Amino acid sequence: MTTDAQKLEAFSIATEMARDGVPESFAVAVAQLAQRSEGAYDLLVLWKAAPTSADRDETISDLQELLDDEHDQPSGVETKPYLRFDHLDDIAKSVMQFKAKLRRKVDAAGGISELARKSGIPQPSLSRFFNTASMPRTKTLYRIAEALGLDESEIVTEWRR
Amino acid sequence: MGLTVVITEWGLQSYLALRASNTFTRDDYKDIIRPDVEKLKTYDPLDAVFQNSRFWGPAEDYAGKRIADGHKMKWHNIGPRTVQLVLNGEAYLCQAYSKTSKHLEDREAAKFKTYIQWIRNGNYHRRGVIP
Repeated sequence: MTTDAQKLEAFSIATEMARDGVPESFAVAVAQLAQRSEGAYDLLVLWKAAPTSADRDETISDLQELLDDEHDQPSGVETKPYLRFDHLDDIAKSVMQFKAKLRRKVDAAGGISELARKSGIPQPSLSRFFNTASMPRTKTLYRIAEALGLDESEIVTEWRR
Repeated sequence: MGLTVVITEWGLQSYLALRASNTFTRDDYKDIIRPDVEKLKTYDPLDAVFQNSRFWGPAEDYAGKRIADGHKMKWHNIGPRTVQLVLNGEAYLCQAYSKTSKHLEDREAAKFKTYIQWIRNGNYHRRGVIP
């Protein structure tokens, strides 16, 4: 559990994060998450201690993932279908094709930084989103669609979570 | 004291990302990773396999503090190491990653700490068990 001292420090680091340019709403959300989660507090400490700006960006992406995970958390144990390892390559390929198509729409609308500004999703999180084969979250797709004015048919994908 | 090996949603997504980046080959998976993970089904902490600190060890946070019930399974000749929670007769595969820096490993540990909290609370997605 996060101690009171850690809870206070979380707000201090999140304030620093906002001064560094991350959206204020994100900084507030991660400070609040750190009140409930020692792991999130650890990530804030690691952001502050990051040896490079790339490490800072990765830490922001991790924090965004935890926020999304908490948002998507089921009220109990929820079982999704099993996926055999033999299918992972095909799934990864399909996910990356979908993301490449969506990325072209993003670029046509001003690029990642413009999408970050419009959606409130930190730029490092968007970069990770487009560069990894993890299945996109419905919530993230909706935020992107809203920011770019896309309709539902343009964000349909076989693999999402 | 064998364990039921549970695949969490976090574990599946991290495997997906590692496969897409070719961090390990299909043969690595079939010949090394999968058989090693399956050793958890007959888990005995006193078994020589689990006494080998190069293969199996406690998960620690950035400050070197042990994460309760958390363990790492490591492969030094191929990319990934997995992090799993061993709890009440079940092993939850939570993450797989390739250690490219201490900062990355510390961040993975921080996420793992949060996943453990949610698993303990009974609020998580699972993708079945390894048969």
